[in-house]
Amino acid sequence: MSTNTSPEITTNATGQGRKSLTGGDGAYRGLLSTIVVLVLAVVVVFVFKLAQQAIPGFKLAGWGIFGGTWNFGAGQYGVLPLVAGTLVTTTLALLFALPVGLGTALAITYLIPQRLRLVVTSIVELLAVVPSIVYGIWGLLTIYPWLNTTLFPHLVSWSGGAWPFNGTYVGQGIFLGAIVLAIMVLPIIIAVSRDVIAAVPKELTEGALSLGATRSQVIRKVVLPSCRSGIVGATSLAAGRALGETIALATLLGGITTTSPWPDRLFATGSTLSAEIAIEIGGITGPPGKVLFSLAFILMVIVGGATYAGRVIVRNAQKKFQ
Amino acid sequence: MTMTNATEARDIIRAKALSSVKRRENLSRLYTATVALALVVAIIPLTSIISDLVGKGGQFLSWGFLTQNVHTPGFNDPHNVGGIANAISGSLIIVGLAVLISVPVAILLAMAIHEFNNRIMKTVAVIVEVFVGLPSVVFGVFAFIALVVTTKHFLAYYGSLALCFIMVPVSTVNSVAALRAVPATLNEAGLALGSKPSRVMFRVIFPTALPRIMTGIFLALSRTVGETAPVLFVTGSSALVSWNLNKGATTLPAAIWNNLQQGSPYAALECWGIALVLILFVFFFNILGRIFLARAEKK
Amino acid sequence: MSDAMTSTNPKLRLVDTTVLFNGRAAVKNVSFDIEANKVTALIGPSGSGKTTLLRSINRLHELTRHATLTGRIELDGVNIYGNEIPLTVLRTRIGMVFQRPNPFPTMTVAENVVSGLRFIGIKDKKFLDEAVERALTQAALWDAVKDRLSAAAGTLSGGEQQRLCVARALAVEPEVLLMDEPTASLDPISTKQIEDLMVTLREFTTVVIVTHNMQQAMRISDNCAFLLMDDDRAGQLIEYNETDKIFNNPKDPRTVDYIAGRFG
Repeated sequence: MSTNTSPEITTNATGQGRKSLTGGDGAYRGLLSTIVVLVLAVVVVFVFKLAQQAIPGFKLAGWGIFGGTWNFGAGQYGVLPLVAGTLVTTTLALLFALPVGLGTALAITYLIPQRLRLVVTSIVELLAVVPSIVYGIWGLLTIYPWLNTTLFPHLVSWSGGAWPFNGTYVGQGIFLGAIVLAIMVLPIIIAVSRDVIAAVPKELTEGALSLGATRSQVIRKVVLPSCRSGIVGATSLAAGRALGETIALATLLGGITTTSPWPDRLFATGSTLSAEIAIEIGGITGPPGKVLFSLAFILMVIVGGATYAGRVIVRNAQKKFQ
Repeated sequence: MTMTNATEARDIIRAKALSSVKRRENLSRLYTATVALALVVAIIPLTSIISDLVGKGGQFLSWGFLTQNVHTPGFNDPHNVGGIANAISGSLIIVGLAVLISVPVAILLAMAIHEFNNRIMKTVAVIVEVFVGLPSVVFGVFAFIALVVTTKHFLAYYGSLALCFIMVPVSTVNSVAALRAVPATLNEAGLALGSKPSRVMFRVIFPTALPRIMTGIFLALSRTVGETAPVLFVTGSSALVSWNLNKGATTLPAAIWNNLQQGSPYAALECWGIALVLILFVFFFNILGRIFLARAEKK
Repeated sequence: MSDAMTSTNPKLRLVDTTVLFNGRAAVKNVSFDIEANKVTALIGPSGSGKTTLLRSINRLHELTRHATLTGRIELDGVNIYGNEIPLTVLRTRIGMVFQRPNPFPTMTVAENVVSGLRFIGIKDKKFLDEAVERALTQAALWDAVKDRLSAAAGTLSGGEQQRLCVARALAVEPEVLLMDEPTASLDPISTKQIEDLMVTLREFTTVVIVTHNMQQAMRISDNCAFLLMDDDRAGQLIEYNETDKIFNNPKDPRTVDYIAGRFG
């Protein structure tokens, strides 16, 4: 159905399953092997170069890299605020996106009449197609003023300035970043959730209904529990996407400043590992630029691992109902 | 142990069933309302973005905008408000070269993954999937390290190479799925007739999978055209229309980024105009891809 | 038409029941009475609307879009399509067992059994525990699973799972139990166990069963309703009588043909 909910090619291949080609097909085999070798070579160079260039950065930062102060301009390279920023924005984004995404998936499956379904799913899939830079300007030019003039003052007066609504706000920051990030990962959650929800056999829902359950009971007590691991997989995929987001966050997060050295409150500004690289791109040719290479290396390791884990979980969840 | 007997139990159950109806039905209605609310919340962002694109960006759409180069500071002619022709040409050549390189590589790699099922290829498949998920900024940094640092130049085709890191993995995954969707019986029949695997692939399997593969390519294309980070690190910029891959160039997303850095309200507003043009490209490729998908699924 | 047996106080009464999907009738003008505490079988070839008719008794056919029903179905004299009985309550009074066992996979055996009770809102642990034992005993499953009450429902064998579903349906003390080809997916031994079970169910409930298997109908049912598709592809009630009479002394020639194996 959908073209790319969880693109994966590592599961049981229904391909030819050959170990090698035989019978005078040398040219074909040679061609394919060459491509594979080329690609692998590029991958090796990729990993190697990033690792190699990351080392001077690690040396420059020293043990301070584990520190809690990040100030690129002033030579302080503790990455913890960046890591914290990455985790906080991703977590907040997922907190916003999961209920909305799950609810939307349920609405599409159980609420929307058949005729409207295509329209609604197209709208949702269009969300996935919008480039990050456009999300960046939308967040900055449309949402940010609204936060500054309407939502944030409202939250402050409603909560009396209590945490997490304390401190000054400038509009840009982790809240803005998290909201836009949530919207960006929404299509993934919706698509995967829809697949998992649709995979619940009709007999189960009919069985529950025939016992006298209300619609919401059927969904809460039968459908959703069956979807648990699939939803975890969706979350994992969404997390992978969120962790990898660079440009939108670079425009929205506002950077780590002296008033906001840590993302410790909703109004704080901050930065993530990826966004910081883009933000400081101006300094990439200078001496401290090496630290940016180290950040890229760290990113490669972390996100690569998270993506891999997500693939495994979704694969297992989909096996359950086969 | 005093057990309730069946008749008593039945009475209790009937009573409870009747008394709880209101509460349960209200809860169900509340649930339905919440789910509907989620749907509405999910749709609002897109409608807002589209209204901004059309409302704020639409005013920029003019022939002049599309054919003039970026506004040079200090130039005071009111008729030359500046355009994005340089960014359009930049996007076209940079993405164009990326496609030229990525498509054959992705298709051949997909064939390799499909034909061989040994441990090496399984690892290759995993690597491809991992690359699909890597942040694009990592590719930008790598291209910077590998190309700019070594040659001390910012060139357009560096951007193409960086974009390949995005296009190849995505296209490969799609192409493998497309190849796998071809019924195995076709392959077996071909081989049983004595054809070489290469013949079966190029005469039978690949043509059958082609519509789906094209879909994947177009979808990857629609994403690549909107990528900012890989290009930002390596292509430099160009204020003029240029079809030369061996010089600096600007792409549409990069132009938006540059405008944002300027900070002026006019530049900010102009972002919407550039974004509108960009989105038109993105939607164009996306819709092309969907048309191919519809054709593929009709077969 | 049929020699319709009318009892004085039928548990269920169908009057001119017609079920339409998208305006096309799947069953037409079916009228008969179902006696309390008896096993009534709906028999007939595929497509004759038996399942549709069965599902209209607990209003499950409404899950299909554009499904409508004309006529009346009465439970103890009350029209179930009226406003007197709320839908969720109706389904606790008329339960259903499906063709393939469908225990809830994320729940344990015990949780499955009491799921209906918990849907209603019963939380009392003592009550629920007693219900587990009572329902499983009625379903002839207690001895087999009493030590496995906390096991996941999926760990039971096919026949056990189906009996679990019967127990689950019985736990809410339904007055009518609908069974849609309950042994169709089971092996012969499990089938026999369920058939033995069905005969004992008459003690506490009324059973309406759809079956393709004439021998099964002969073995376990007290009354039989024979349905057949007419030229408009709508199911009609051809004959309804005590099982003995249907099989040994059928009145309608079409019934004769079916029994003799020319259809089906």
